[in-house]
Amino acid sequence: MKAAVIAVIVVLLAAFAFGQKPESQQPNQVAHGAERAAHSEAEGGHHEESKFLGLPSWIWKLANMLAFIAFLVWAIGGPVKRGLASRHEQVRREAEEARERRAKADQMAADIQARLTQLEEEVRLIGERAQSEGEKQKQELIAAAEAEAQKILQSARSEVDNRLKHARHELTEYAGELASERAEQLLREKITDADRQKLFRESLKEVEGARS
Amino acid sequence: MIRRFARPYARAIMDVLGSPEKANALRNELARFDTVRKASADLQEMYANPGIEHDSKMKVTRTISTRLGLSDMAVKVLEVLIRNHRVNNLDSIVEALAEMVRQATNTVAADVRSAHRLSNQEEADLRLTLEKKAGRKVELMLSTDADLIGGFVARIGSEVYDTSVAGKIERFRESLD
Repeated sequence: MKAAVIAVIVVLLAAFAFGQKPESQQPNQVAHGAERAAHSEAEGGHHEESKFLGLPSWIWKLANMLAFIAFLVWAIGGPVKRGLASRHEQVRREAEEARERRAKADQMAADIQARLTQLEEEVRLIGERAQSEGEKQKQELIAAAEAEAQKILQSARSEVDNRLKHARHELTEYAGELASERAEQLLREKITDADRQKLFRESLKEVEGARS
Repeated sequence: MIRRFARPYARAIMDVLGSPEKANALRNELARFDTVRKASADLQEMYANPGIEHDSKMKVTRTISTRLGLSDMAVKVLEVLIRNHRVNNLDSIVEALAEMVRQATNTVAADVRSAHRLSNQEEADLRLTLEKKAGRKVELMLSTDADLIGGFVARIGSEVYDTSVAGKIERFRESLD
């Protein structure tokens, strides 16, 4: 509406200007419509302003133009107004959505920042925990290795003891075997009838004392 | 080992003689004859040969019996065994008879191996000792084994008394293991 009013004012000012200074125009100037015709007539020696129904032609031109403008306003004013309103609404909605997206982006950025902060804390905690676990495992490994070493040592000692015992036993057995063989040999060689009789009497006592 | 056919013969001898003492005396006679038979492979072959007539076998048997001083009862028992072709199994019959005599007299057999031949006194002492251990009369079955070095090994049923020097040495060896 404002644009239409401004246009009418501009047209009126232009028409007034044409009405006030028709002779000051130069021959080489560009003329349009009724002005060019009026100029041609003036060059013929007569300078008379054309009229219609007693009114100068410029008034009719002005009225014509105003009617045309009014028609334009009537014909396209509604759709233009609705289009502008729709566009305004769309712009407002997009602005609203942009604000919401901005808010979401800000929220997301804040969340990311918080998460980053939390991650840093978690990384620090994980690092501390890993260090603690590593230390603990190190201690456990050392303890296990020491225990294993003790076990191996104990086993080795036990093995040495067993072998010594076995060797001692074998030696004793061998010595006993030799001694018994030698004793048997000597007895067979040296035994007399008197010895046999004595042994028989001792055997009788042995049987008497034996528990059946 | 007592074979199955030996027990009926032993039972018959016990029934005919009527007392364990007489049966034991006959057992000793038969044992003496069996010692001779075992010592002669020709004698064993003769008794085993079915081609040699019964009368010939009896003639030889009577000759041996006379020399050994066997009783008529012993000769009659041998005749029955020769007729039944069982004389070569006389040891089993003697053993069965000995077992029945021991059962009848409540006597137990003691198998004794000694390092030297026992004197009468040693045998008597041994019998007395073993009878104390067994709680009844003992019939000694003696044998000599010089490998025992000294002492003796007596077995009464499942009980074994090993007092021999060889046994002691062996137990000493086992104790070292």
